[in-house]
Amino acid sequence: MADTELPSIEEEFAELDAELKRIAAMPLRTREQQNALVVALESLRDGWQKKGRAHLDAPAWRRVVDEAITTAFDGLLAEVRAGAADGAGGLRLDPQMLQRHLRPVLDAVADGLRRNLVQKFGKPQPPGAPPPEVDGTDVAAILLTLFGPTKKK
Amino acid sequence: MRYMERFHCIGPDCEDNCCHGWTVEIDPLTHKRMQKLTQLHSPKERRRYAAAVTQVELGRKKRPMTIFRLGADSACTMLEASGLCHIQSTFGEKLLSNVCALYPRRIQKVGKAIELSGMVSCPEMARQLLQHADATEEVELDRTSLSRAVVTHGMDPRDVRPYWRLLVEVRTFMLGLLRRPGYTLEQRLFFMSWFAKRASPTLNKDTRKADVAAVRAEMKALETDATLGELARRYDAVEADSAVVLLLARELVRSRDPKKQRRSFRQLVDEVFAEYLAVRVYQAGDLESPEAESHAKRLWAEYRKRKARIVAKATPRIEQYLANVAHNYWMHRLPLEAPDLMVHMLRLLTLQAVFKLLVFSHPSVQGDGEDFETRLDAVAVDVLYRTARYIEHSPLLTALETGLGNANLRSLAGAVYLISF
Repeated sequence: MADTELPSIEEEFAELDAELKRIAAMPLRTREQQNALVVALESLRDGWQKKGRAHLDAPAWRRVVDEAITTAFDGLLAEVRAGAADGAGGLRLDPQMLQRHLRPVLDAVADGLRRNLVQKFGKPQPPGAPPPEVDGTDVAAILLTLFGPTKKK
Repeated sequence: MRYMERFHCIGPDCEDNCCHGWTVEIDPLTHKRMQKLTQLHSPKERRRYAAAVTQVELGRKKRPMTIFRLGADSACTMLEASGLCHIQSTFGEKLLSNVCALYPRRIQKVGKAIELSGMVSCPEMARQLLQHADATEEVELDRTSLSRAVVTHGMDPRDVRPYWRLLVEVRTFMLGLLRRPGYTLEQRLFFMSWFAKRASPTLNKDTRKADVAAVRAEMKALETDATLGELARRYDAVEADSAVVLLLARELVRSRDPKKQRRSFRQLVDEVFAEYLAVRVYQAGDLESPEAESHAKRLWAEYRKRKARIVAKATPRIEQYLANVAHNYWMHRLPLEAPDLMVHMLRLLTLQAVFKLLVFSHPSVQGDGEDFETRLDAVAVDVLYRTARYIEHSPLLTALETGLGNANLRSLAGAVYLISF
């Protein structure tokens, strides 16, 4: 600039417009978007919302299980997404994270099973009494309610 | 400036006092005095002072620096449970090290003048700067108001390089553009960026000798409303709709190493970004074409929605914050801190972009209600001081331009995107 004339306003804005357009055309991807784990978890959650969730008239214990699964997905996703956006290094599902979010689901499933058995066989047995016999068809019915029919190979 | 007259330390009432998390240097004179005084006072005080300080080696050519140790909670070991400083309450203010006695003030010599400005990493200073329209009005410095007149920053007036020689003149001119009536804040920031870009080939640290006539001619042209009006009209016509600044600001506030990030800043960032967790990372159709939806575009749309809602309710207040922050930046930080005038301007715009992102997205200002302005003021102070503690007191300020370079924003176009963010 020292010994030369400055570009005119016209020239300067022509350069500016070209640069603005070049920047606007650049592909923009967030860190989270580049993380396969986040995308996979979001897809799993979507699949669960569409296909796995119980109908509105499902029994109460089933709704509790559904709520626990939804909360687990949300919690896992929030944690994984925060890590992905930070770029804090290797991002993986560590055992503590899984335990923190999946434990409530397993608790809800176990509680649901217990309630289901009580519903099926009447009052809970007094302490010390032998547990009621449960046959395979009872368990199969519960598992079918929870996870749906198995896929045909 | 007026806000420095109003400022006084609120001590134990401060929401986040300055006695933790820093490396506090003790100047050699104060260190010697303290060693002698504590010896004379009592063995207990001597032992306490000796245990509270440590020496840091600065290389072979420099003398070691004496600093205060920090406790397990990262607080200064001289901080009492009452929130008061043990040295000040036992030995008096004169025995405070220069850093402790001066903070959050900065005294610098610029040209022939002695200037006093404030560091916004202090919550009370941030409050005084943001909440008064006349905060940055220049007032004559009452030297008797300074308990310790130690000049810590400034410039060498003997340096004849153009960047140094024109510094006072250029700074006065830039502040004139910032406060120029008749234009929006965005337009005024664009005028400043325009000049900075065009003057930088001369006003930089590498240029030893240059004819400054073109710089002066540009300043003269930018003093006329004919030129400014033309620039304003053209600025308003440019399209700068891209999520690029949003992604840059997100990257800047999210540290790669959470352990190195201040806890209070980390909390603020987590709180703000929790607002965006509902935005889908991926959905069918993404990335099918350059115009397709994407996570970045969805985040950008969400941010713009929040910004528009808040700006509609409090435009003058937001402009006051941004103008005062800009004015203080130019007074407090000399352009000589940056390699050239344009980088100095881009650093300010990037800091403002981070400020806007965190304020407009903050959960406390999303709802309506009668106390909206009070909440907005509180959020602005909180964001400004926490950001300053994290970014301005670390090498991150210089890392801003690296980030700008990586995002292809180290240009006038980058300035336009940052201003309109």
